[in-house]
Amino acid sequence: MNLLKNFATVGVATLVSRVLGFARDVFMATMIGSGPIADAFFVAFRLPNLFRRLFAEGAFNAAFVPLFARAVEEGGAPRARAFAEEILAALLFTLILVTALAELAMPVLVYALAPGFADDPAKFGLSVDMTRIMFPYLLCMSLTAMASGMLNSMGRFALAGFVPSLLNVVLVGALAWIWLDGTAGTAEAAFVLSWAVCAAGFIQLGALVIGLRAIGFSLRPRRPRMTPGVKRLLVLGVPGVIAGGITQINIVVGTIIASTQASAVSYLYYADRLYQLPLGVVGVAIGVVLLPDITRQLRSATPETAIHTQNRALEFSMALTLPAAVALMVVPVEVIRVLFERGAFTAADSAATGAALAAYAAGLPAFVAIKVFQPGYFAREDTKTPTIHAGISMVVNVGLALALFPAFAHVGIAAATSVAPGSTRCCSPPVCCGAARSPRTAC
Amino acid sequence: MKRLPLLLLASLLMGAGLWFGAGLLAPWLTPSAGLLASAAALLALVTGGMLLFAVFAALTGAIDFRRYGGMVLARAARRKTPGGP
Repeated sequence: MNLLKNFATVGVATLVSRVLGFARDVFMATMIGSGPIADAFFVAFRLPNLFRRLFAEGAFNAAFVPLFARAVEEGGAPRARAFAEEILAALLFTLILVTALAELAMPVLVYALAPGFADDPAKFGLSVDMTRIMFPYLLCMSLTAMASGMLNSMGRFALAGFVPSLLNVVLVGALAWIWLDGTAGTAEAAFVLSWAVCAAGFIQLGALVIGLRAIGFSLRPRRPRMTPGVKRLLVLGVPGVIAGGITQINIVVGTIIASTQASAVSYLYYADRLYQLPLGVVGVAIGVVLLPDITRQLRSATPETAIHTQNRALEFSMALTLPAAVALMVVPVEVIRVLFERGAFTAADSAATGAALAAYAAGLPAFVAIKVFQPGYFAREDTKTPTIHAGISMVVNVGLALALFPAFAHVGIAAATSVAPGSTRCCSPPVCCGAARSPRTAC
Repeated sequence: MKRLPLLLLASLLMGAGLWFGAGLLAPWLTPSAGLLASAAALLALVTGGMLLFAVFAALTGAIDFRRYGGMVLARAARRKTPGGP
């Protein structure tokens, strides 16, 4: 398998996306800083992203990609297309329903995600309005995840890799407009950003639909029906929703607790963005490339080959992750100051964000390791083990976050997020390599 | 997976280097030094860190650069053989 080349494609694409994301965050720090408006925006931005990671990316990477890859392998393009059309119909129906319900029940949702905002009706109202604007992004992103999964399974990593950059291109454009308009730091700026997020979703989806058409793979709409394919996807996907979203759930728990402290949501947002850089380039890339590779190898080659691929991937990703983690722990404030400290972002903000970043960085290797191991389970259609791990990690995270928040504020939340994924390794060392099928283990 | 502790060792050594480097570059690593100077200082710090890590990784044997070079060649050769992994 051409692991290095595929890794390079996805890695470069993710890197481009992150660099653009940086431009966006640097700009964003200058324009909206870390005050109440920023807090409201980041919570609103979190909600569609949360659903996206949980359902779209989590469930789709876990369940749809293996099933679709198998359909391609066994029945070729016609069988794969039929399966994809079934799933598309069911997915679209569900998404429209969920979006409509969420738009109606938005105050409840925002309250659930940021109970601390209830004390400040202005902040809470802003958050509700902005979430309503941004929520359709979820619909676009779920369909985008499906289209990306299809392109990846057919060995076309480039387009699916570059599409996430479009969000950042649109947001940087919107920020430039805010800058020229002179509305930096106002609620109006945050609303412009919200509309930009919504528009970006449709642009990203459009690009992938065109990409699928270009390789002669266009899907026709069907009536949603409970077919065996949809059932299989649900059976595999529901546990995958939980397992694939370990960090997301953990970050949400963080957001809920952080909403009670002014600016904490913003600090954690900026720290998380920096922490996502190495994570994105190494962890996600290897996960995305490994998944179809291991799926193929488990079906056509020996388990030893798959284990070997996984070991190589672990060694390779740790060679990149460990130094990144150590660097972010040693010089976090320096990095934050240079990147974010200007305009609405002050020196005190840098110190607070840097402390959270160091705490996040400590958990980086464990999180990347999970990203390397997860595809092995998913490829075997074992979604139970990762789900159990996710459960353990959630309990540890919530407990620690609640325990550490009073003393260490937002840094305690970041530390809890870091410790949680690692704790699943300690609780269940023998399964870490998915050794059920192979006498040789990865550790 | 004997390489993992070595990778950690190389990373920690690099961390020590970064700590000294950040001390040396401190006057430039602040917004008051101007965007260009602070960005250049950060870039120098990051590049220095990467070089240090590469050196320490090679010295401790955490990464066998010759072996990785060989692996890439072997992979290229294998791709020409039909039925290879």
